[in-house]
Amino acid sequence: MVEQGLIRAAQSGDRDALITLLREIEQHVYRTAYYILNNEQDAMDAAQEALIRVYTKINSYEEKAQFKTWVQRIVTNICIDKFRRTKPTVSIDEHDMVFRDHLDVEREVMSGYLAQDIQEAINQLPDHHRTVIVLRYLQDLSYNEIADCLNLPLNTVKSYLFRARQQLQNMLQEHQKGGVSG
Amino acid sequence: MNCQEVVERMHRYLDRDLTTDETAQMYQHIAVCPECAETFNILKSLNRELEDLPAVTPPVSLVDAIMPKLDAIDRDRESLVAPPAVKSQEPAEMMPDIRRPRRAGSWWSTVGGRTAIGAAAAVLILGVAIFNYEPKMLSDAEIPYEEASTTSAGANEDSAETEIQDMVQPFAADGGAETGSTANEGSDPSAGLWGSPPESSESDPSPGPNDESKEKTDPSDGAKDTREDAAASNTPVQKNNDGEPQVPDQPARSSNEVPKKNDASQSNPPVDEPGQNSESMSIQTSPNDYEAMDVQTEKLPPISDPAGDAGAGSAESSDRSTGSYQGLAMVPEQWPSPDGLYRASLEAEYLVIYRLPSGDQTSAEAVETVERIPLGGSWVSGQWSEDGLTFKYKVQTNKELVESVYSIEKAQPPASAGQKQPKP
Repeated sequence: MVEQGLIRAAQSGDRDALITLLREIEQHVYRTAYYILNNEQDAMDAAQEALIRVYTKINSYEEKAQFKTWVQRIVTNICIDKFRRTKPTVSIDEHDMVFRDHLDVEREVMSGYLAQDIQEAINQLPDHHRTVIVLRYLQDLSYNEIADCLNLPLNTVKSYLFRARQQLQNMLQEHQKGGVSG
Repeated sequence: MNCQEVVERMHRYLDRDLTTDETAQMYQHIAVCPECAETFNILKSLNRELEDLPAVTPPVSLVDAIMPKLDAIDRDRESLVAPPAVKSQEPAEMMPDIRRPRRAGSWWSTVGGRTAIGAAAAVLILGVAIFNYEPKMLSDAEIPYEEASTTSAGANEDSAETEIQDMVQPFAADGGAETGSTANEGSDPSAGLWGSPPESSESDPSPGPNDESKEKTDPSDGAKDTREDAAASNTPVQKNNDGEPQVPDQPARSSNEVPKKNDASQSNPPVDEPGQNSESMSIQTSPNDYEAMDVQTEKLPPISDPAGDAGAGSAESSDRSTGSYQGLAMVPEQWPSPDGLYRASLEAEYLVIYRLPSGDQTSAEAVETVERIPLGGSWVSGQWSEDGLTFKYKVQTNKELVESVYSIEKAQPPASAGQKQPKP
């Protein structure tokens, strides 16, 4: 992802190296922010904030961690903070119950809603599930790397990922069934 | 393997977390379980969709967008660095305050502590020296004193230590009481110095009425001050030892205390002529058998005379005197004869032989000038013979070294005793 030499130069005070480094991670940072926040403007704000944080905290990075993991940790933390501030949280169980209870009644509504695309489905996921999905598919991180990013146990990461996919599958399955039936 | 486990393996398979065996077992189950096969297909489809999510890019370069912010951060950092630079001076001012208590806390780094350490070291060294000292060396009181004073090895016991103090104290008292006799004896110049300032302060105002003598001596002295001071400070001890007449004359106005005393004695003789104050001065400066001071007092007029004879040419005299003075600085300028009856003295360009008063006579009239020999060259060296009857001296003329001998006939009256026998 990023050469260690460039990171070291940036850490040693080379401002040009640090700017180059920011340009290299810019798209990765934005992509994570965009899929977690599902909003271009929020993603821009979060990504810029993350880049500035990288710019100011570059000396706190230690090579024992992967640089991309360190960067993704920064951006996901910013996004989760932003998400918590802007959206009312709903627990997973509550969300599922609501989803299932009203499944039949709101099938049409939900079908239309889910039909938009998978991005909307991702947006329906709880924060941590969505974040794990984003890191897994948008950043192509392994279980361990995701665990490092989110500071979560490995099994928790697996569980979140499996459940997130299951939820997505359910949502899309309903959409597909609705699509077939409709 | 139940279906639940197979579904979990499906997820791990999608995340590339399965071994080949686990993958094979999963496929075996999927092959026989249509439900799991359908779930697996849905999961693979979802997985594909997730992997195919568009790699969104920011509409504008985020780095370019945040550049102003980054510059502002840099400016803030610089301004933060600058106040810290200013603040780093405040901590720098504070640091000594932090360190000082530490120093104060460690008692050995304080002045008192260091003094105590030094005192302890001195006690230790003294103790070792006392312990190692040979007590039998104390059989003769003179020898241990010399050794004690030169080696500072001290004595063997506490009593020996006090013995040294006893020996030192009379010595110091000696120097103080005899006011400069020790200085002339050359044993302790500093002891002589302590006694002299009061004399000069007393006698200095006294020559005030004698304007003529002051006028004679002051101009030349004032002109010579700077150069003479340098020379005087170089060899104060030597001059004191020899009681040499010219030295007291020349640095008379310097701040050195020894010349001050000599200044007092120098200005005294003119006072002497009107009959003022001479007795008190002679009592003060020449107690008992102290001959040198008398000679000095007596000889000063002849010395100041040449300078005064130079008349208006005080600069000339100062040059000459300074030259001889500088040359004499390294050479003893007075040579008392071994029997103490005569004294050869180098004054300006003359070798003067004085006859000293015998016995305890201290009156100024007792000193007589026996002979006044022009040198005819620069002075090299001079020495009395052992019997005190001949004085050999060497003079460097223009190109050759002339050695001359002056002989004294004791039997004859001093006025006609001199016989000059120059030898080429």
